[in-house]
Amino acid sequence: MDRAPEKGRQPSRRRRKTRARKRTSRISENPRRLLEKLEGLGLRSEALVHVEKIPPRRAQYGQLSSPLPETLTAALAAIGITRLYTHQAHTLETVRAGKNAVVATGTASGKTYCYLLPVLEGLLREPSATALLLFPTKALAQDQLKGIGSLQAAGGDLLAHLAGTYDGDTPSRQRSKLRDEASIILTNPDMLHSGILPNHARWARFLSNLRYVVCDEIHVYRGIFGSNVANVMRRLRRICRHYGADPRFICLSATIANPRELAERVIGATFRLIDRDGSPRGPKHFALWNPPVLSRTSMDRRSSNLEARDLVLSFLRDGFQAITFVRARQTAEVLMRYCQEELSHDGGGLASRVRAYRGGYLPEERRAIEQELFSGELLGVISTNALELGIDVGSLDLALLVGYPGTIASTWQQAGRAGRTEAESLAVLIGHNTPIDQYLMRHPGYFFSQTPENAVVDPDNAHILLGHLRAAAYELPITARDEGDFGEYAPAILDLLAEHHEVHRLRGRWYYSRDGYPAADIGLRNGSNNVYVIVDTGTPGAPPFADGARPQPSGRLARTTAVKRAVERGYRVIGTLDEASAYTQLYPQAIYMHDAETYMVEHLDLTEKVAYVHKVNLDYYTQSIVDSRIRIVDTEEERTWRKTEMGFGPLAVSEKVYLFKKIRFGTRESVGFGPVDLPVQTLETVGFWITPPASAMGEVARCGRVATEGLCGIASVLADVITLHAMCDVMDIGATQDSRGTGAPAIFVYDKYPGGLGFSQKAFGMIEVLMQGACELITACPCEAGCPSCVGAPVMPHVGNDPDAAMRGRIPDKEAALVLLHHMLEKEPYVPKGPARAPAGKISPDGEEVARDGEPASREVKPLPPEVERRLRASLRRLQPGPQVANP
Amino acid sequence: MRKGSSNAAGAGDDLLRDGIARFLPRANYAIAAPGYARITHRLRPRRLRLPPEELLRRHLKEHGTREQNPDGAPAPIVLFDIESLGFVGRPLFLIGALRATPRDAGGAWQLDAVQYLARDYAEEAAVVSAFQSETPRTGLWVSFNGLAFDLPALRLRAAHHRLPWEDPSSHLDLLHLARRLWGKRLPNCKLKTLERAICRRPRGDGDIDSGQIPAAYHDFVRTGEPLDLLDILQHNLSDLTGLFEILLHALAALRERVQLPR
Repeated sequence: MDRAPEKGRQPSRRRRKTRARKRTSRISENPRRLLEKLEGLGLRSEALVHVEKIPPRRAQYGQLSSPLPETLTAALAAIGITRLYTHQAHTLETVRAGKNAVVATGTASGKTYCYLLPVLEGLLREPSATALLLFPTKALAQDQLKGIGSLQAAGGDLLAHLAGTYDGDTPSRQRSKLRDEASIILTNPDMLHSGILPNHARWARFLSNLRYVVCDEIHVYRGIFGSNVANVMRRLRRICRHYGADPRFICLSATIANPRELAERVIGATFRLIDRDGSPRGPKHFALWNPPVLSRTSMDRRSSNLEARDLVLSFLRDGFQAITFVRARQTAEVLMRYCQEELSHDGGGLASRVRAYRGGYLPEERRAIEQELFSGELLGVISTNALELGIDVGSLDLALLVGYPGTIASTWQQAGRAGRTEAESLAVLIGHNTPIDQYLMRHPGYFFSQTPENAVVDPDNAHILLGHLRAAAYELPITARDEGDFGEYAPAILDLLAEHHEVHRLRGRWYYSRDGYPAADIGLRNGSNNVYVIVDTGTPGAPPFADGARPQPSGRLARTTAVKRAVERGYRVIGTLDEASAYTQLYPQAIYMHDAETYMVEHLDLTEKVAYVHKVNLDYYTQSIVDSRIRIVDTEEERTWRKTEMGFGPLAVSEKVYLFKKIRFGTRESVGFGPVDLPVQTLETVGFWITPPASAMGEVARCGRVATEGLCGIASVLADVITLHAMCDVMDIGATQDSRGTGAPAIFVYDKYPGGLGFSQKAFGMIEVLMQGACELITACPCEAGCPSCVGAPVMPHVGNDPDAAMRGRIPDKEAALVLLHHMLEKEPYVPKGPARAPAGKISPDGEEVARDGEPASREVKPLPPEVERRLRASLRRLQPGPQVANP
Repeated sequence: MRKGSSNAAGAGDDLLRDGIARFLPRANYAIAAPGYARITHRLRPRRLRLPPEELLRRHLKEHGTREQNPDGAPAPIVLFDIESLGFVGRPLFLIGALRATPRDAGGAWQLDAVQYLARDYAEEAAVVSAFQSETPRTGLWVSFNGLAFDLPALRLRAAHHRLPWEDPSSHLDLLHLARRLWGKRLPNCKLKTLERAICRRPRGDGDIDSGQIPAAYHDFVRTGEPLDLLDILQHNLSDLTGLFEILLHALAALRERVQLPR
C-alpha cells in the first residue's frame, strides 16, 4: 500500500500517528458517518444549504527515465515510499532536463518531494553543489527542515549534507558555519534581501556552487510583497551570474489561476507547469451551512460562532479530528472558550484536547500545538489563517470554516486541511451574516464554479524599483545588461539616483556612492515590523505561575530589551502582537485572551512596545471601536473628468481607537463601555478622490435610493478594476466612500503603503477607462441585486476584523451604482430595476450602532512619467534626511 | 559629458598628481597596470631588534595567527592598514603597506611604504590584487586590529571580486598585544592614545577624523577634487609609521619581560 507522502516526516513518528488515529478516530468504521452526521444536524435547523460532492481520485504513478540514485531510493523505501506520483516524477524529469518547474497541486499532495528529490539527486551527483530553499515564514522553513532531516536520516551517511535554517533566529556562531559549509540553506525572502545578498562575498562558496533555488508557497508572493520578491530575485540572479552559477528554480504553488505566469514574473525565467496531481484522495464533501434566522420577522441569524461551537463539539465528541478556521484572532479565542466551557461539563478529559492557534502565540507554543495535532493528541484546533500555509499537521477528518476566508484560493487551501488518502473527509463553510457570506449561501453554485484568483505582481513598478536599484548597486555595480533586466524605467531611475549622489557611473557601470545600508530602507511586506510583547506580571497574592511552565521565547525575540527586562523581573512572556493589532486589542483595561484564559491589560508601553497583563476571571471580553477617516493633506492635481470633479494628492488615512465595549461571553450582551486614550495611527499615502456632481446624487435620490450605497458599490468595483490595470493585489488598494474631507460624498482610492506605490496615481490618469470598466462589469453581471463579483465589498484577508463588529446588512446597491455611473459617464439615464431601497443602518447583533469603515555611449533612457518622477524624488528626500542638495 | 560619469583617470588624475607633488613632496606617484595609483615613500632606516624566535612565536599565537610549521623567522615585516567605505565587507580604496627589510648585520632595517590607491570604485580589484601579489605571505604581517577588521575586509573584498586570497602565515595584531602590555594603565588602547602615551609622539591636529573618510572619498570620486584625499593618504601613512613606533616599543617590552621569570 502506498502512503501519501505529504511533507517529509520520519517514519517512526508517522507510525505512531497512525496508531494514535486508530484509537481516536472512528471514520474507518463507517466512512459515511461524517456526512450523515452533518445531514442529521442540518435537518433539525435547515442550516445545511448545500453539499458539493468532490469525487475520490486514485493514485497515479509516474515513470522515471532513469532511476534515482540507490541511496535515495533506499532512503525513500525506508520511509515507505516505493513509487512516485505523476507530478513528483514529472518535476524530477523537468529539473533533470535543465528546466525550471512550477508545481501547482493540492494540499498534502507530496509537494515536498517534488523539490527534495531533484535537489538531493543533484547533491549526490555533485557533492559541492548547494541549494537555497525559500519559504515565506520562518516556521515553514523549520517545519521543512525536519522533513528533510528525516529523509536524510533514512539515507545514512551518504545523504548527510549539512542543512540548516538561516534567519533572524539563527545564532551568529551557527551562521558562519552554515555560510561556510552548508549544502542546503532554508531561509525567507526577507533574509535573502537584507542579510544574504548585501553580504554576498561571505556567501561566495555557497553562491558559486548554487544549483537549485526552491520557492515554496509562491502564491503568497503577490501584490506588493510579490513585486518586492521579484526584485530580490533579479538581484539574486545577478549575483549568481557574478559567481558563475546558473541555478534551476523549482516553485511550488497552491491552486491559483495563473501559477506559471506568477512564477515567470517573480523569478524572471521561463517555467514548465506541473499541475496534474497524481496523489490519491478519498471522497470529500464540501458543505455550506447557514446559521438559522432567529425569527421569521428578523434578518438576524444565530451567531456563526455559536453555530460553529455546536458543530465542532458534536464531531469532537464522536472522535473526529477537526480544524476550525476563523477570520480573527479574537474570534479564535472566544470560540475556544465556548468549546472549553461545554467540554469541561462533559468530563473525560476532552477539554484538554482542544487548543486555539493563531499568530501572536510564541513560536515555541505554536510548534508544540502543531506537534500535538500531528500526533493525534489534540483532537481539535481553532485557528486563524496562521495554519493555512503548509505547516504539516497531518490530514484531518474535518475542516470548519467560520466565515468566507475572502478568496477562493484561501477557501480551498483551508478546506484542504481536511482530507485523507482513503477515507472520507468533510469541509463546512459556515456563513456569517455579512453580505458576501450570505450571497454565497444563497448561490452555492457561484463558489464552486469560480476559478481561483489571479496572483498579480509588477516587478517594474518604479516606486518599488527605486529601493531595489539602490540595494543592487550596493551589492555589485549595475551593468548595462542589468539595466535591461530591471525593467523599462531602470535607466531613468538610475539617472535620478545619480543626481542625488546615490550612485555614480564609471565606464558604463553604476556604483553605489554613499554611506548606509540601502536594503534596510525597504521592507518586502506591506505593514509595520513593530512587534509588541505581551508580558504576564502574575496575579497579585497568588503564587507566581503555579500552572506549570509555559515555553519562553528563544531566538531574536529573547534578545530584545523588553523580553530581557520581563525575565529579570520574574514575569512571563505569553505572546506577541503586531503594532496595528496592539492598538485595537491591548489598550489599558482590554481583555486579552490566550488559550481561552482572560487577562486584563494593566499598561501598554508604547515606547518599549510591551503590554503588561495579568490573569483575571471575568465573564466578558472587550472590543475596540475605531474611528477611521481620510484627510486630504494636499491637492497636487485637480481636474474635471466629464462632469465630475477629481483630485489627487497625499492623504492621511487615520484610525483612532476611542472606545471599547465589554461583551458578555455567550449572550453577547453589552455590559459597559470604557474610553481608550491612544495616539491616532496614520497611514500617510497618496490617492485620488472623485466627487460626483450634485445632479448625479439628485438623480439617485429621485429613484428612491441612497447615493452613498451606490458610491460604496462603485468604490469596490473600482478597486477590482484597478488591480487589472495597475498590476497590484486587491489588498494593496484602499477604496472607500467618505464625505468629511471633501464636503460632499466622494469615492477615495489610495495605496495601502506609506508614501504610495503608484497604483492610485496610475488610476487617476485613466479614470475614463476605469469607470467604463466598472460600468461594464456591473452591467454584465447576471446577478439580480448585486453580488461579490460586482458591487460586493472586496473582503480583505488578514485584517484583524471581528466579523461580529463588521458592517452588516446588505451588499451595496447595484442599481444606485449604475444610476451614478451612467450619469457620470454621460450615458443614457439608467432606470433602476426593482423596488426602492430604504437606507439600511449598520446593525450589530446587539442592535447597536457600530462604526467601522470599512556605458555604452548611448543609453536608451525612457523618461519617467513626470508625476511618477515627482513622487520618486519625494521618496528620495525621505531616505536622505540631511541637506542633500543635488547640484546639476 | 553625461552627469555623473566623471572619471578619476581623466582630469581628476592630474589634480591628484599635482596635489601629491605639493603636499607630499617626498612621495612618488605613479599609475600602475591595470589601472590604480601607486604612491611610494622611502623612509629613514631604523634599528629594530626582534625578540628571540621562541618568544615571538608564542606571541604570534596569542596575539595574532601563526601557521603550524613556518620556516625560521618570518621576513620581511609588513605593517598594513586599509581605508574602506565602512564596516567589514564594504569596498576598500586604500591599502597602506610599510615594509621593513633587514639592511645589514648591525640591526638596521630598510623602510619602504607603498600606498595602493583606487582612484575610483572600479579600481578596487586592481588594488587588492596588487597588494596581494607584492606582499609575501611568508613575511610577518603586523596590523592594528587586523584580526577583526583589516584581514577579514581584505579576504571579503577578494572574494567579492573573485580573486584568490591567502592569509599571511604569521600575523601579529598589535591591538591585542598592546592591550596586554599597557591596557591596565591607559584609558584605552586606541592607536592615537598609544602614540601619545607610549611613543610620546602625539598625532598632529590636521589628522582627518576616520568617521569622515568614506564621505570624503565619495566626494573625491565624484568631483576629482583631491584635497581631502591627500588628508586620507597622510592619515594612512601616519597610521603606518605610528604602528611601527608601537611595534618597536612592544618588542622592547617583550625583550624586557623575557629576562624576568614568568
